[in-house]
Amino acid sequence: MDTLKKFTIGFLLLLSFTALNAQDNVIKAFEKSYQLEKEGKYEDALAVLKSVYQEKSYEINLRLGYLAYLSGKFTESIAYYNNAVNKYPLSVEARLGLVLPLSAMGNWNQIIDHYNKILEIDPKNSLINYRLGVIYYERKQYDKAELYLKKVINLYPFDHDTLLMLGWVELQQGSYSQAKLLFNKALMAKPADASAKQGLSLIK
Amino acid sequence: MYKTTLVLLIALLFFAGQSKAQKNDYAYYDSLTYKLYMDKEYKQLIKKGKEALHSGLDYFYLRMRIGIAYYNQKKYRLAVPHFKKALFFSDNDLVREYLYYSYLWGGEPLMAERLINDMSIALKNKLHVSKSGVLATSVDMAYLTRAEDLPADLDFPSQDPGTQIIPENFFNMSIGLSHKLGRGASMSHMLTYLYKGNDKYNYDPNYYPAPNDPYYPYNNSFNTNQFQYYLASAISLGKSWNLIFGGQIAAVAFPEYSYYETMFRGQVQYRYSQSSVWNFDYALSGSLLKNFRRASFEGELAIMSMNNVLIMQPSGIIRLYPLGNLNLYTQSRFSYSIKDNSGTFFQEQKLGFKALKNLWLEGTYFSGGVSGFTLDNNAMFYNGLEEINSMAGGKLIIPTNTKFSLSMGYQFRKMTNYFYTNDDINLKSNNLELNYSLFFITLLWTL
Repeated sequence: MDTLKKFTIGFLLLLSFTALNAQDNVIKAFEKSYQLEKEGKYEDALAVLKSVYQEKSYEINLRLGYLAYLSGKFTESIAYYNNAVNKYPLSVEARLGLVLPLSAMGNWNQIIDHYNKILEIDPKNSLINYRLGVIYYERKQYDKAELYLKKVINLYPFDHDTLLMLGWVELQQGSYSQAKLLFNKALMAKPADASAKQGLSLIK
Repeated sequence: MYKTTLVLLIALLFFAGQSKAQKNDYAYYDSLTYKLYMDKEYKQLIKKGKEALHSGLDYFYLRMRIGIAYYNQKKYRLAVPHFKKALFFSDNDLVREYLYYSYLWGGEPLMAERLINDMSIALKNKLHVSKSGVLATSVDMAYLTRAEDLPADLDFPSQDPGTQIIPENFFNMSIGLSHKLGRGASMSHMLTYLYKGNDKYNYDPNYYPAPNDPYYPYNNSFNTNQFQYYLASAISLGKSWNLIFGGQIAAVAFPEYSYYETMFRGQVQYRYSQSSVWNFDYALSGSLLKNFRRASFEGELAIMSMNNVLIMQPSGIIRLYPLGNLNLYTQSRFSYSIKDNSGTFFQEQKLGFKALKNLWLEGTYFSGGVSGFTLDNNAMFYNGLEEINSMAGGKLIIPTNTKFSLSMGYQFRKMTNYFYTNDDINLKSNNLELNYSLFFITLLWTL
């Protein structure tokens, strides 16, 4: 009985030590990857973290997603980010990361889907609302662009980028007085803004 | 030594596999296809692009490059699936514009029309498209004439009273309009006037005197006037399925002779009076068409009443586009005409190709030996009593500019007419096969 007890304690100690050691290796791998990333050695950073890869680890998948994106391996990046999203479906940061390789590949409809999912979690996320406004502006869907940009302007009435973008949306929709007001406000935020000046010149 | 060799061999195989895996990745295919796109090496771009797709890569820019490569090679039908997938990845005006023109110039106008609804106002203005309105108008004329004289020894061996009508010529003129009805639907209608000149031979041993009587209604001309109205609609059901249905009604005025006896200066003389009798023929049809990239398949069913005979006509039509565009196409129609519990098989083959920059040539061959049938979803309506054994001809199609198109052609026909007895329309004899020439011209104005 004593022998069994000793064996069990020893086994548990060994397990703990192994786990701690494994965790220690992961941390070291992360540290190394940051170092290599700083040096611009993205492929090496990717390889270091892959050596401690655990499919169910949110953190490792998230980091690998980013490193693969930096390495130009977009399909691989998407796969890692998807793993992270599946692990934590409510994670905004994982979806924000996933958008990076998707935008590089031009898959904007999927980006919109992810942004909409983020807005379900965080409806007033100003970054996402702004980005959706920009996407719909590029698609010439000005009514939709206006919807998202107005959400941002209500939260940040003096945000230069949103004032400028909304100015252009109003201009495209023919609401010149509104566009003029917004461009002037954008100039208040950044007096040398060439885009706002260009918008105003089109109204005159 | 053995272990070292084994390790080296495994390493070689592993790294060879690795380097192949590295080649089949996004960076490799993206940079390669981008370079080929910029260098306008479309053939190679398509090849490498397909390789990338087979390796599991699929994204907006790849699809756009392959689609544009096909598009610039004018293989519009082959460009469509790539633009569709690009649209799935990213919904924007550039893709919609490419897809619109790929459908339009690839011979799928209904699918092009379906896109209009989802276009931005800016794109609609750029393409000058609207959701509804008149699409096109057409005028066409045709003239048919018998290409040979009747045999001098024309005889009617039947002993039963009856009639033989021998076509001499016809002239027809049609005016058509087609309209957009909204999302992927269109309607066409056409008014046609047809004049037919025939020789009519009556035979009745019981009631008519000798054939040399000047009022004997042998050798009468039997000219008919026919007015037709055609109405059809085509609807895109999505996923490259189209439903087409329509009908045609024809009002035929033909002369009827009433023969009577009269006394003139104490002698019996025979006279006849002529009046017009109206007969109505109609045809209704529906068909389902499925478009693929290099082919389309259509199943059609037509039901018609012609010369008081009910006819059912199921058909299958196969169209091939070997080049993925309209620069070379074939159409094969196989139909079965069922009337009075018997059937006749007939078929039509067409081959068209772009001969010069603004000239298409189309050849047609028809065979069957059938009377009373329709072609092209009732747009072509044949309600004569004579059987058409074969037709062969060709036409020139000249799109003079983006708005106008002129086509003209010639067709040689072999037609057989019969002597029909008065008591039984199914009893026919004295078959006479004659040759005819048809000339036609069509002007199409796209609005």
